[in-house]
Amino acid sequence: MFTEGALSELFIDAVVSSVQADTGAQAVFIGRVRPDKKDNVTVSYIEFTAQKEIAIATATDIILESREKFGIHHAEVWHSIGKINAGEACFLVAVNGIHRKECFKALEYIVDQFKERCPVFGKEIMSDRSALWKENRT
Amino acid sequence: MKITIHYYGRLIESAGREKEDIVLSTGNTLAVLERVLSERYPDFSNIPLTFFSNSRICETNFPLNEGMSIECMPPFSGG
Repeated sequence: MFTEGALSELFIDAVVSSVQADTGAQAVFIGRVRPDKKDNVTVSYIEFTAQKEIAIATATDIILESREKFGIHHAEVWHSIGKINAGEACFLVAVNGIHRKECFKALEYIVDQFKERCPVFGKEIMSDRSALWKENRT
Repeated sequence: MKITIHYYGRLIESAGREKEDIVLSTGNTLAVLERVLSERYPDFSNIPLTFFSNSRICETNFPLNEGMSIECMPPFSGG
């Protein structure tokens, strides 16, 4: 579930391409580091850390919940650890199911729940080398 | 009783360490530990903290025991 560095296009393609035979729909969310401006300086990169054991257990629970709630077949969650530059991908959720509607619902559920419940911490490093700890809005 | 606290994210910077042992009187709850940490590290008072024990979130009335390991976390920011 965690990988060091940015999620490459090759990696994302491999996750999205691993489809079960009875899949009729896939929904994919890719989160990237935004080059936000704050007080005239721009986010250069984010340093991500995590309590991996708890985050993996919680993400596993969230995926099981999404399968029960929405009847999807399969879901994968990947998050970067370490330095991720602005514009690079750091978060991937891929959902496989029979129909699009349950996949869309499950995708939103997994993304929202991960951000709220999984202990991942991001420190934004700005273009002037100052730093700001991110906080997800719940 | 001795409790081991593990810090994450910005709390490592505020505490200046990733973990430490804290000694409390027997029978105390998480509320007491939270107060001790806020007195020791004033920055903690301004940060909403989440505590875990054995991978489960603990409420303030959670009873602490000798040798327990507690994870102390700032707000999450993944995704």
